[in-house]
Amino acid sequence: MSSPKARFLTALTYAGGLLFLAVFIGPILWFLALAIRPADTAFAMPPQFTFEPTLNAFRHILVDPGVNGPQVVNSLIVAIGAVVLNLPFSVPAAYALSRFKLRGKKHIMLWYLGLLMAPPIAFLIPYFILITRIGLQGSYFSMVLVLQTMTIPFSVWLMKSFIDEVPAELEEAARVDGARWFTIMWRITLPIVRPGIIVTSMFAFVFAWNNAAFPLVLSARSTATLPIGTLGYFATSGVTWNFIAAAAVLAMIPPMIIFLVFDRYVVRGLTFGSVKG
Amino acid sequence: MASMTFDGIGKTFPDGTVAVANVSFAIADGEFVVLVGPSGCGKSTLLRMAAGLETLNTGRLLMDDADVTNTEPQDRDIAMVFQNYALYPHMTVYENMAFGLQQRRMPKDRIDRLVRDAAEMLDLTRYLARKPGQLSGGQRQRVAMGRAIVRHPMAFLMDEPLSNLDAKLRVQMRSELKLLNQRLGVTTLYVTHDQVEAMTMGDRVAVLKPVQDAGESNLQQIDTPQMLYDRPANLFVAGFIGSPAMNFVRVDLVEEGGGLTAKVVGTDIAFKAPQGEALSAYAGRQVIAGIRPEMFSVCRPEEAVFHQEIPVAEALGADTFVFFDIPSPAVDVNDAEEREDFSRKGMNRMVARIPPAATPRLNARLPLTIDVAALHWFDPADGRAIRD
Repeated sequence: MSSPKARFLTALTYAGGLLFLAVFIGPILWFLALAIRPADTAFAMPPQFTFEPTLNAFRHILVDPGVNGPQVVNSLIVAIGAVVLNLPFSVPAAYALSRFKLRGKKHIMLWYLGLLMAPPIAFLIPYFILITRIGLQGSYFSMVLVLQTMTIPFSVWLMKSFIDEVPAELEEAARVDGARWFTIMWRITLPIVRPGIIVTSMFAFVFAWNNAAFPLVLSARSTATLPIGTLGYFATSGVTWNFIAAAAVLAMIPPMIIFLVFDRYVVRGLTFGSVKG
Repeated sequence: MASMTFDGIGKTFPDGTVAVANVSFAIADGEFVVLVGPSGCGKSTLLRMAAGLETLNTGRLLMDDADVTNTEPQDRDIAMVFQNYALYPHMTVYENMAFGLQQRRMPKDRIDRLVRDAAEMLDLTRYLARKPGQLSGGQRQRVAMGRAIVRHPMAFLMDEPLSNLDAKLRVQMRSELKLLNQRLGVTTLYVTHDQVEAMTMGDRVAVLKPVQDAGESNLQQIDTPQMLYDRPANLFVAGFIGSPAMNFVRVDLVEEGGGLTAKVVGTDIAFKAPQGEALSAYAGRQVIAGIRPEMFSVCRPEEAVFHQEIPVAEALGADTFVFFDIPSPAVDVNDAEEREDFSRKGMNRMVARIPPAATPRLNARLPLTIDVAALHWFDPADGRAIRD
């Protein structure tokens, strides 16, 4: 039997954990509830915890008039496009920064870090001007391209740390076996860091999926992404909270699916150093 | 198959550390040469230079008669076995072995035949479809070997390939590797820090030592294992080869009655030194005498040269090692300069190998004589062997 003091401490730990959970999960649950409760109960005072669930808000955003349905597709196009454009640049860059003797390697890494630290809003106006000058405004490609400002630096940092973990002897063995650097990268190193590539893609996808600032200025009505659609419910005539909540819940689904499917890679990715060889 | 020549090889790292300096030796076609030495002696660096993975600052490297000093590893046609095997973890055993052949654009059916032959030779056929992660340490080691032999390269380079195996497997693989080398007849350069491995495997053994400045040379001696044991060139080699290590005592050489007597410094122990021109030149001076543990024999007390208490005895079954201290300054083999070993307070710990039956009671005195003719003598100034 544990002493009363130990039991008290255990209880305290659980209480603390629950409090944490309430702080982090609470708003999400509240939003979920907001999406399925009748609109007139949303701001009832005192708050109503029991209500008749309804899918009216989802019907509104997806079916009638269904503004947000195509936006889900747009978001997918932009997010997947961001990943597809990201990898061919960030992976070789990370490989070069990890393996080759480059002048100013440190400065390049710091430059990338600087890009990550800068507020994306700072790039908004120059990018808008650039994109309109070359006539790409409103296109998916403009958003995919501009998102790389943030996703490539992050991906390079992440991929470099994965590639750094691959023992140099493996590449030396391949050199002695007669392979040139491209073969070594393609056939030895990249297959080994596949979990890293998956994790990097996931982060790039989620970043692009969640980003609202760039599509806000770059998208057209037909190419608007889901966050832009959500913003649309902050109208001058009032804020329709249950539509916003429904759209937000919708927006949560793809990243959740991705993390559920690939979570073993995230775990493997984070413990990569311990499973090498 | 090729000969290999190291010609005045030197490497200094950018921070000024001298890793390798003035190393010159040649390996004959088909010869098995072992590089041995303590850590930091440059043996791995030399091997990596031979592979082309490390650049060199001075000297040339020849394979047959071609200068390969600046040739990329890809173009050297050598195979290397790494200490941690460096197997490609995402490829099967088959793919691991085939990779090098694929790089040489060999036709598929030929690759298949070569891989299967090599697997057969190394008893790996059953494991061809497995990945390295599913193999034991010994099997991984064999795959690493297989990846090397399948290519039929000009030379094998092996960097402590057995050091990750357990003791029993290591002994077994030692003879297998040696047999493999004899069967394939491929020039082999083998690095180890284990002198037993060096002695048992090498046709010739190169003993290396860490260097401080670019004026010295890492290479102390290169010779057959027996010659290293019988005729070590200097204190370092004498102290490195042999287990337990050779005992060193400082002696004053005194001319007495038409011959030389060696008086152990700091004690009243004395013994006759053998006749010899080289040694006679040191009459009246101090030299270092090297006594291998196996040069001692138990004798009657009146014949004893050493007659000391035995505080420690290690019984190994076939032999017993007895340890005793003499009140004489110890000799540090790593630099021949005078240096006392303070840990033993001016005592010099000696070890003798005796038959188990002669093992004394602990702390009893044991009369020991030495085979004077077999002793080694060294100049204390530079550590060089004094020999006719």
